[in-house]
Amino acid sequence: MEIAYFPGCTLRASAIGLDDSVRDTAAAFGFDFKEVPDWTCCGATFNLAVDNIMALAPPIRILANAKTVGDRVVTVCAGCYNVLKRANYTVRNDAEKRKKISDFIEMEYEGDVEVVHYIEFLRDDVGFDRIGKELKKKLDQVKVAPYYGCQLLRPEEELQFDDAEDPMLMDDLLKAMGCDVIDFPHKVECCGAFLTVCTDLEARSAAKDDDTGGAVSECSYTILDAAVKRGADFVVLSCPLCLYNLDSAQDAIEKEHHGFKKIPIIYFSQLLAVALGLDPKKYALDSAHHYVDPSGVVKAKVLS
Amino acid sequence: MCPTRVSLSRENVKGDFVQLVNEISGQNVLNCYQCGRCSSGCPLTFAMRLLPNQVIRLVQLGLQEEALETNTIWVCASCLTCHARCPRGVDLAKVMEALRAIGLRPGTHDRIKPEDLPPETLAKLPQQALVSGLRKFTK
Ligand code: SF4
Ligand code: SF4
Repeated sequence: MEIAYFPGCTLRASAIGLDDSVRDTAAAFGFDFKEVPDWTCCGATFNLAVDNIMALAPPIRILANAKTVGDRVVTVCAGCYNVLKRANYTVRNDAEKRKKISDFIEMEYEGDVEVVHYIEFLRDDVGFDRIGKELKKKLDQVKVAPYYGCQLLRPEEELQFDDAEDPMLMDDLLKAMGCDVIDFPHKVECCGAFLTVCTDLEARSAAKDDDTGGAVSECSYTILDAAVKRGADFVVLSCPLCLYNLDSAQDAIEKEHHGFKKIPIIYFSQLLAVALGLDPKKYALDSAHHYVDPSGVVKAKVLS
Repeated sequence: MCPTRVSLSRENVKGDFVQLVNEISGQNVLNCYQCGRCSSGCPLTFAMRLLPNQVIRLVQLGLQEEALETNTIWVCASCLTCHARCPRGVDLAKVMEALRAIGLRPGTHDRIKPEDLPPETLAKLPQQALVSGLRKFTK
């Protein structure tokens, strides 16, 4: 069965390990993901100014294109999921905006495509039970901290992914995979998100006075320290921006916080691919794609 | 974190600024009753000069200049924790976005310029970071 799949701009570039592992694991379960035709970037962040209608055009155009494949579109990047689902919610509930966007993109779209996150797809279409049965590697030595961040969860009334304060969906998937899932109180905390663009800014920018520069490493420290102290081997997530922030901040954190122990950050789907027995070299689990190289822990805990 | 000295006036409170923020954010800032729950859960307060609820208060009082010049509106990461917890249903992230928009829309006050970003940064940032950062900090 053909199912529309929207990778998003980051997945075809820096988050290639996320994209490849999603496509290959879906194929391993017998599903045929077909890329949304003619797709573009969704805009990366949902515009919160309600008078900005322009920002709705890219995600709605993507959804209208997805409709040529089917009535659902699967996506995995938490940012894309947030933008597509919120844009969909907006046109479903606002006839005037719906008409304006349709006129502008010259495509009829009524909000009738369902936006589905790949974890939801694994639960509803593959089934967590089946996943557990088909794994080739035992993961009971792997201690993971599932990290959801913001974009999968909030606003809860629009996204309906899971409870915004105490989500369990990724926990449940990882448990079904046989992992030792830690109780992780910082799973819904923000990593600092787009403030990361200010981190390296030289004195020329107006943003230099905003105190945004060190924000990401401070936010990341709170999250990572909690995971490390609970003995996690990996932080597991589904957002390339969260991965970059939590991963790249660790050098700065080490300098700032004496005794901090580094921890590799990986995508849930990379772990799934390796556990299904797919070739680990194919999924960017290496130092070229990570600041904190996950390959040693993958080898010791998953492949051994 | 000590609040600046401000002068209150009927013109400010009844002025266009409150109206404009409400229009862009789709919120009614007067719904906020200053309980402070947003600020207690906000993960970025360590970098903010005014707390999120203090910024809302400035808006309620129509104090445009004071509200726009605090770094809080640029430190806010749109994480929506405040919105998830506000007992009055105020979407504070949208109010912050409206304040950024009022600052940015004249087109003369972009917070970052792509040409200011060092080439190493451009090479390593994920596309998602760059696109969302430019959307938040420029017109
Ligand atoms: S939580 Fe809501 S009502 Fe309370 S101070 Fe914040 S915005 Fe106002
Ligand atoms: S949306 Fe902004 S103000 Fe609200 S909790 Fe997050 S960072 Fe703080």
